[in-house]
Amino acid sequence: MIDLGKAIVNSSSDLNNIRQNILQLIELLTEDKITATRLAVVTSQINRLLVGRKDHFQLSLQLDINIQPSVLSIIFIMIDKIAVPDFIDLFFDHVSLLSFKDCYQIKCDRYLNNTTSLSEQKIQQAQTIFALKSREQLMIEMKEKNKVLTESLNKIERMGAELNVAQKLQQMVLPKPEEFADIDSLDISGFMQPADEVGGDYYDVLHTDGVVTIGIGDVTGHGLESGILMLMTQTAVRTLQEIKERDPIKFLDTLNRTIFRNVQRMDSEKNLTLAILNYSAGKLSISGQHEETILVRKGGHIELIDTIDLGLPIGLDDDIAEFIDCTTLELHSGDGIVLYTDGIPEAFNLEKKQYGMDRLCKVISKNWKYASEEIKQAIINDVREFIGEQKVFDDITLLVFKQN
Amino acid sequence: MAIEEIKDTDYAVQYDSETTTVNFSGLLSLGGATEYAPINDLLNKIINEEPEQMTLDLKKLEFLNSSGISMLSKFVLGLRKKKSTQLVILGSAEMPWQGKSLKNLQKFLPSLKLEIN
Repeated sequence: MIDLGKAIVNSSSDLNNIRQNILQLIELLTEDKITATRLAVVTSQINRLLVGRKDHFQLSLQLDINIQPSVLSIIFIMIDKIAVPDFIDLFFDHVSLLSFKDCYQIKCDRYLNNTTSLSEQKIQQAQTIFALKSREQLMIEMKEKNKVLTESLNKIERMGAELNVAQKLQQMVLPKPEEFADIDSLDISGFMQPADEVGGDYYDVLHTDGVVTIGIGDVTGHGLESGILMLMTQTAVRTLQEIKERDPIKFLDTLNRTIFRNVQRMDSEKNLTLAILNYSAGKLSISGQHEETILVRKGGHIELIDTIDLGLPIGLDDDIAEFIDCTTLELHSGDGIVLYTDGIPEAFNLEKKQYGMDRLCKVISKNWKYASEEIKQAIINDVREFIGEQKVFDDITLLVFKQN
Repeated sequence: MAIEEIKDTDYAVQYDSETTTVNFSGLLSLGGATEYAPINDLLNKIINEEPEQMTLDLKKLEFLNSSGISMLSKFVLGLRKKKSTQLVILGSAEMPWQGKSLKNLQKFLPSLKLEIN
């Protein structure tokens, strides 16, 4: 059985074009213009009839040269059963209705008596007739492709917009360098670089009535949702600071419940680490669970303060009060603190090695004699040198402050 | 012995149903809850069969990112209500991320048997 050509026929098909193709094809094979015309006309009539009743069907032309005489078949393939129009019998030698598992076929056979002229070359030539798509078919396909392309372009645009919004949210609420300058007792520098995909790092420095509240945190995951959670955290911290909540347990417990309930409402899987530091006249308190706090003494000597037992992740559970604790220490002139998110110690290089705490502590110690801005820059440069060409997977956040 | 496995080039999570132990190894840093869903589903499937004991062996897990820790924390929190299964977590002091994160799990679920060597 040789496949001569196929066409999907529906209400937008160019039936005249199909008729002409059939005419051309049969005339080529039979060298009989009258027969070709008759068969093309009756096929076209069936096409019109079927299109009127069905949404679409497939038209298939086949040639069997292994039997005598050779048979040219015009086959109409459709999903639902349809009665065979009785006028067909006048034009074909044999008409059959075939049922298959997933379709029905009306197979109209015409015996070809003059087969000596059916050379391979001729058959190939016949096959090209339907292979050349009609202008209409090309237009329909082009429209379909355009539609898919437009949809994916819109999607990319939306994703880009979301990324943009998340990045803006994150940068918008960061404290400004002018605010740091207003705090006489401390020399402060902050840095935040979003990852290639925006994460949800948070830091803030708030100053009222001689009390400096410093917050640092990291929302799990990436994207707009993490950015929104970071924004809510910033607002909650600011609110608690404005009402002068000085009890660290009440502070973090209230904040946790606020975030937890919003996360529940958002049906979100996210949570965050969060440490809150309060500084006033040489005294510093730390509460909440985050990365180890780096305490640096005047000469560059480093102590790591573990915050594991000072809290729990925020937004995971509705009651964390019993796990919140507070540690206090004294700062003298030249002493200070370095806060960071896991994007720094957990930064990978191309060899899949992590930057690590040791290297971070070394660079801090070595540069501690400088002002906070230079220390910050030295750390960032060292981390960047380590990462090299590797993609930055997580936000990098850093806050350095020294007592004046 | 039935073993279920979720793996990629960087990590492997294998379930040994005979010992009801899930073995984690490699570096796990998938992007968010959706990418962790297959592992989460595996853990929940096991716990829904209410075995007497379930073990998570993390000794060979070199790294777990915050989304992974979050998934594990939620799983452990969910066990507060399922008193029929004793959860055992095996960790290693050699893996820096484990100290902090595994201690949290103990806080979420006081009955958890945490063995770090």
